[in-house]
Amino acid sequence: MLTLILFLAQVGAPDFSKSSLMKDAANIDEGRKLFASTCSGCHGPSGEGGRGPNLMTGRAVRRSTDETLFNSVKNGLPGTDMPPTNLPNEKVWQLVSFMRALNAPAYEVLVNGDEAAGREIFMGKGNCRQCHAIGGQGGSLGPDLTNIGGSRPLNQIREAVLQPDKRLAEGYQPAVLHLKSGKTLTGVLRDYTNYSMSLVDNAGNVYLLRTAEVTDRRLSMKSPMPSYKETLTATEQRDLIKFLSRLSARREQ
Amino acid sequence: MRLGVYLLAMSALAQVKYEDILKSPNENWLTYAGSYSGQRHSPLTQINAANARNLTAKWVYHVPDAKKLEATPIVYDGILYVTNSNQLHALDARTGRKIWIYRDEQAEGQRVNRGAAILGDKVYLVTSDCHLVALNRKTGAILWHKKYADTKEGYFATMAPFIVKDKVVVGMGGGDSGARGFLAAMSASTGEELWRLWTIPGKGEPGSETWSKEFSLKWGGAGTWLSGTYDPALNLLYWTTGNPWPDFYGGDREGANLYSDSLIAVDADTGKLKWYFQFTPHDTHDWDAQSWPVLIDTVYDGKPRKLVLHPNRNGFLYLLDRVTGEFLRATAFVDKLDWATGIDAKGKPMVVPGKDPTPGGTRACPAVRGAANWMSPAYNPVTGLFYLPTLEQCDIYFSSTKEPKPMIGFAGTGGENIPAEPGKFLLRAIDPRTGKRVWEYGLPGPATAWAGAVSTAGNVVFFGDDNGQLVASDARTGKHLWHFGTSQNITASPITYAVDGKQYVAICSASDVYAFGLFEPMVE
Repeated sequence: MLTLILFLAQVGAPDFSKSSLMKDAANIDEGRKLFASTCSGCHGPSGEGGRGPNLMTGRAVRRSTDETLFNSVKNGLPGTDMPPTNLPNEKVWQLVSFMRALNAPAYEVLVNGDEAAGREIFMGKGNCRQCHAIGGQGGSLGPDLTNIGGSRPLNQIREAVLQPDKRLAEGYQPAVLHLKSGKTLTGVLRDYTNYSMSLVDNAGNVYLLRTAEVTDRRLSMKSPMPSYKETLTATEQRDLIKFLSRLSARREQ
Repeated sequence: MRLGVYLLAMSALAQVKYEDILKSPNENWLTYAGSYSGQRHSPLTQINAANARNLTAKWVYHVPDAKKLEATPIVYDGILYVTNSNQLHALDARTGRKIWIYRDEQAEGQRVNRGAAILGDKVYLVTSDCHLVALNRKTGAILWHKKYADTKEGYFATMAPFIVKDKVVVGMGGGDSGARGFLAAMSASTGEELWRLWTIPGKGEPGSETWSKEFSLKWGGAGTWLSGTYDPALNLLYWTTGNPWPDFYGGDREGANLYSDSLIAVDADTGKLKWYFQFTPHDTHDWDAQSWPVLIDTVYDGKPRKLVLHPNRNGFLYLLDRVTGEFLRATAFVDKLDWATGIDAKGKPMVVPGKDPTPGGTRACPAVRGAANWMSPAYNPVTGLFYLPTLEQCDIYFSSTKEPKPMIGFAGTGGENIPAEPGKFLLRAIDPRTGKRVWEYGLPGPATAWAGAVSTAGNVVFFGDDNGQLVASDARTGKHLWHFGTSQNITASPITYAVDGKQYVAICSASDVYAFGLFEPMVE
């Protein structure tokens, strides 16, 4: 009886050692091609979302089990625009592999490059520490990077290094505020409404303000982060991204 | 101009010192219980019994993903910190606007979380999988992660870390699956472990003779899943421990099962056990001792005494000398209590035979959830009253003689509600010196609340009811003053704080944080 159940389970959703499948470059690549032809219309060419949800950063994908993802692709999601597919199970698993690779924290995927060389660029030529902290060391104008590899997919890290203006990280809008008291604050806005705002300066001080107490504000939509596309060589970019991908708060455990 | 003063104040007060915690609560609420004494009594009087009816909602903060917030917020210098499972949210305490959110998505499991701790420039939380995490309190940047127990050994964590001087004290959950209890202190600056006290003795150690099988010394429970209290003058931590394991079948663990279901007094510097008092020897009803020990100084038997007050899940309110651990008295604080006829002069229960769980089921009172539990009581030193959320309920208790297997959720079976006898919550105001019930406030509802209380010098007691409402009543009489419906089950305890001279009362509902203050009419 048990054998029969196992057999049926295999027919329903063939489990060809999914854990290795998830890291199998060939399957991920097959999944990438399938994604471009069947999914990108709604989920965007790189999975960044459109009519369908963002699959790159969406936490729903990261928290789902492999089986849930498989079933969502295979059977669609009733009540939404997500349709079922008649792709064979093997192809569906390839799509799941690609989604996992797209969405998995960078720390969990294989990344090429020289981590030590990347660290040197981070500390030196890249001058990254001026605005970003790791383990409490560094500035506060950019997001804390202590767990960046443990929390962000590789694509997102690459984009942030090479095209920082594409997306401004939430809570990091550059601002200069002049206050009634005569003081001027320069930093990033953690929160901004018609009535109140909070600003963090590069020393990590936080200011909680009522809008009525601010006489003038200059906000920028441009990331203060420079693009490293031109200033670093391809190898340096690769090494820096490798270093960032290894930053995980739980790594030493 | 006021703003200028405020900004200057912010930079001057950037560091939370141990001395600040000694003074809490005031405008700040710096620990899970508000103060080291665990009284949850605030000196703030702007909101008082005369004007509490003018309370109004000031803000609501929705915690995305939250299903069952159990956190008590802490507040320092105008910032409110509240936790959800593997998350810490820092909010402007005046507006409820988010300043930063920390999320640990690599954590294993999604346990509830009961709150944060604060010292220096750091805030601390534990993750579901027993990492102590230190964050920059202003930016949320990660300073360090320290794993202090392994999920592979059945451990998890839900508690608010506890600061004592330069240490962070942490406990663990998992006792219901056999994990061996401990309390650990880590350096607040580096996370390095400084001491660890096992709540189940090792082989050959004192107390090991209270377990009939050696197996239990490795898998015995006695979890430490709730924050404790602290007496700075005695330098003693007061912590309670959970049930012995398996919870409902005692045949494999004959004996008193030390130090389960106990109050332990621990030297804060060394982690050495100074004294202990066991409430329910050889417990078979899952009556963890997790309602925290409240430290009160009062005249008892004509003499000023340093006392510790503890309402136990087993239905008795205990009063001990907190210097020596000497038992003074215990009185039933519920009517539905049939497992013991009372507590004798030595502090031992006079047990009624035939109340142990059986394979066919045995009716016993209180219920598994306990007559009291982790939801916070409060003590007002001026009225001298102890405000205790109380559950009147009985259960049918079942047991199994199956061989205990740790870490799979095996508890030797459990307790079941009796549909014809629904539970009933009440807030009881009790004189702790006599055990006399002075007033009570009935809380009709489905008996699903796990809501605590806070007391203020404005002579108001705030507490959650069994229908998702926050209630204010008069501290002396229990008379209703005000209520507010959240439409969600409340499984948390309220606090009060002040910013810019305005007092607030805050509480978590299932998925939101609410803050209330006095209505302010428009002034032209």
